[in-house]
Amino acid sequence: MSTADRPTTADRRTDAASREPVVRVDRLSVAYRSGGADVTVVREVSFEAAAGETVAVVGESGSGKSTVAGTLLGHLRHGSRVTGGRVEVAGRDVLALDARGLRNLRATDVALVGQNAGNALTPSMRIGRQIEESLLPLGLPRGQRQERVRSLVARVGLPDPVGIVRRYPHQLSGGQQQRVAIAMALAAEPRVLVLDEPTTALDVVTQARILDLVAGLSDELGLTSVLVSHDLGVVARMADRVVVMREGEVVESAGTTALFTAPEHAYTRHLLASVPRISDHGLAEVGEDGTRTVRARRPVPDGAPEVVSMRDVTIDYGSHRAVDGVTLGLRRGEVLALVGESGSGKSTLAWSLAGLRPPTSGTMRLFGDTGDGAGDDLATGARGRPLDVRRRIQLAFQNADTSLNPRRIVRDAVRRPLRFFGLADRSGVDGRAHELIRDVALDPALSDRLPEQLSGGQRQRVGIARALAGDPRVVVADEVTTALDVSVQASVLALLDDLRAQRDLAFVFISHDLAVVRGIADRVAVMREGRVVEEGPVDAVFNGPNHPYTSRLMAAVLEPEPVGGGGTASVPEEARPLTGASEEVPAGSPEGADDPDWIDLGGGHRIRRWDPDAPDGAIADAT
Amino acid sequence: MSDPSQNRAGDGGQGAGPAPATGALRRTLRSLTRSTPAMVGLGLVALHVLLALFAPLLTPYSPTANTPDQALLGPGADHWAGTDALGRDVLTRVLYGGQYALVVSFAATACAVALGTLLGCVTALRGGWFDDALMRVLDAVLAIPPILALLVVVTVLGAGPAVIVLAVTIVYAPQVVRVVRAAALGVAPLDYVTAARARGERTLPILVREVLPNIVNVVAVEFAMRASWVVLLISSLSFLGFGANPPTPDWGLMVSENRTAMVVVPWASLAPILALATLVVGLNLSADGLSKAWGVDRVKESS
Repeated sequence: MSTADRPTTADRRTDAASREPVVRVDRLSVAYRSGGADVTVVREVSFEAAAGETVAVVGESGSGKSTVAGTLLGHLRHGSRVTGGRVEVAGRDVLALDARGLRNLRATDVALVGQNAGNALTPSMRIGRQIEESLLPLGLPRGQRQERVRSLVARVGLPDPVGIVRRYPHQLSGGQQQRVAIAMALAAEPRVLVLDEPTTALDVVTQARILDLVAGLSDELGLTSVLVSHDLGVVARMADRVVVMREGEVVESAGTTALFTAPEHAYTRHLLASVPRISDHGLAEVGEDGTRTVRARRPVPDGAPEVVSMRDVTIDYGSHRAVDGVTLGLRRGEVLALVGESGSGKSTLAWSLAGLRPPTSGTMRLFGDTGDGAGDDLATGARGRPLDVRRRIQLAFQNADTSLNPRRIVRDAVRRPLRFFGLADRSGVDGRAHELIRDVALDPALSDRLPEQLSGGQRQRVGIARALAGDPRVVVADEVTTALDVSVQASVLALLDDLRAQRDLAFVFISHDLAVVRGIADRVAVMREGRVVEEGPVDAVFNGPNHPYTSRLMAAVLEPEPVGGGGTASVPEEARPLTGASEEVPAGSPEGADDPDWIDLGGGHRIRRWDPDAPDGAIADAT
Repeated sequence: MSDPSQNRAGDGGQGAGPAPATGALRRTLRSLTRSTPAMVGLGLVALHVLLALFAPLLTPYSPTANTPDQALLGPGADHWAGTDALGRDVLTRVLYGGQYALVVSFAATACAVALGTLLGCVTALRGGWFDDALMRVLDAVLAIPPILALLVVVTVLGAGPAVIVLAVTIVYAPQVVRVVRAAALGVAPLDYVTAARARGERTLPILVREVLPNIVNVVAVEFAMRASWVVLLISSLSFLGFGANPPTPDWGLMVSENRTAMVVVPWASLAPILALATLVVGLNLSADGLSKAWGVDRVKESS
């Protein structure tokens, strides 16, 4: 930023020292009208944030945390109103402001960074113009404004500050868009920053970078931040103090260290215990009182037959190669996790396996249905497969909102594949559908409901029941738990684990959450830019040594444990355990030295060789 | 999580229970009845339907029989809207004219919307070269002015209700395709459609089971909107002498027949114009009311 800004920054530091609250929410209650009755969504919520402090508001979906964040900017969702309490930001009573006062407040004192920057930016406007727009209230001359835009762009770490202001939002990645949103928020030099799930839509590596940026900037500028998040890892990383909300009420409010080390309220304990940890050797099971036991992973028997084999699978989208020569196998009852950043090709590969897009080259085969042992060809679209092969591989989806047809009742969703694959006749189909609904631990009474009448977790279970209807050998689970609250996520993961044991099911489990992967997977394949860079049994991969890319993914994982004040960069230039040169192949892997592409570490753990001179994140640092 | 009571609480009480479809219906009806323009529109359309249906009971005259001694009368107790040059009661012909206008328009709109919906959904689901090719062909059809296209079809195949229905279908189906395709494109990438594709279902079952139920509101609004255009177009065609043949009672034809006597018996021209205008306005208002009740975005149409 230009030298002209320095004095204000210094002033704020002085403010910070005096520790007078900049944000004060006092017994705030908000209600909305539904069907003639008032429904309270926020009940008597109070908290304060001193200057320079970061306060996190944590809760599961429906806890009212976003509503509280909105009131800090004087925003209420349509149909809701404040029924009591006060909100003070930078000494102003926000709820008493008129339209002009609110505009002034938002222009000078408080700024918002939302969850999805892609939606917040105008698609038809160049980045530079959009940032400039938020400078307009300052009344600077044009030349100075553009100067400021350039310094802001540089400050939020966007590459090529001169060129990027001329780009349009769709030409930027998700992480870059979020950086633009942060630049816009900082443009007016606010005193308070409201961060509403700022990194939820981003993958782990990008998330870590954005959090570093925000932490660094608010430290530097002495910003007071209110962070709304469901992710306890993010909160532990960022917040000084934490307010835990549940169903509109504050259940606990404490300093970050105190809260994470000695949570007082049972709900907080339960929430904390539900978060999967990267150190768990299996799925965690959480009791009502928050006690945590790790369920031992059921090992795949040594003699388990291979059920799917993929060899040199390549998938092109036009000239873009999404998947580039992947060779992987899957045994019966095994959970294979595909891990990688967005754009790594993991979903493309899985969808191809499910028959949605035939591979450009390579072979995919399914074993166990025809007697000759040669297996059935999967390298075709779903329609090219015989019905009996088709039903053996089924999909479960990430987004519970779109995975079910909103016009069809639950039973219909399950009944359709049963009928389609000819697994039940007209008279038996309802009975089978009920069984399946019961198998995914849902109340069969729900089978007459429409999807909109179910919770996210219930819908996700119906999606799983639909996948099970074809009596599959392999279920491709594409980020099935990503959109769920942690406690629900834990129960859905437990369900998947149970199903696999009962039915000897194999899963291709796509996830970017390494802690979840550690809990459920037997084997892990790390993908980057369409290639598998590392593959092996889950414990071997998590214990290392690793491909540098895997190490970077693991370093970016945020655990719900306080790291102290926050503010330092957390993506380390990790020490490289291996350089990829052939002389470094560990002893005990006889064939390792012969293979020009892979380092074999034994036990099925192999790592793709890399160029020791290239930066490990060959993906340019342009997030 | 699998506790049903918790779920019920989340519903807010409204529309809960085992029959959600009636809940949606009730919501639509409530939204419609609260909107005055929508009620006026639906009222006008209903009035026209009733009048056309009960025309034989409402008037003692025949719509086609000539009575030369009664020609060119002004409005009076026997003939409320007067008579035309051939002595036919104008009001009678207007009432019977509604039958022709409504039946032919309804049939033509239904055909155009049905064909357009089918093609729009298929092209959205198929995508690829099929989509490209079909859309370019339709662009070409859209480039021809409707009235010109209609005239060509009618000249080649001869007049008659069936030909008019066919001609209107050809002219309007491409526009319906565009609207429906846009709506279907919003549904096609959703996971439940993907799931059906992964099962290897054919395009038609996917269309009927997964896509159509979710765009039925768009189709219904499109139907109402399109109907008002079709009514106008068919009347224009009759006015130009290519639609209904005399002595069929038809509004466009009546205006055309009586416009030379406009100064003598103004009501012989004005009455059919009034009838046509109220029907079109009614259809338009109903379409608007429906689209608001269902939250269908009419702006999409221009895409």
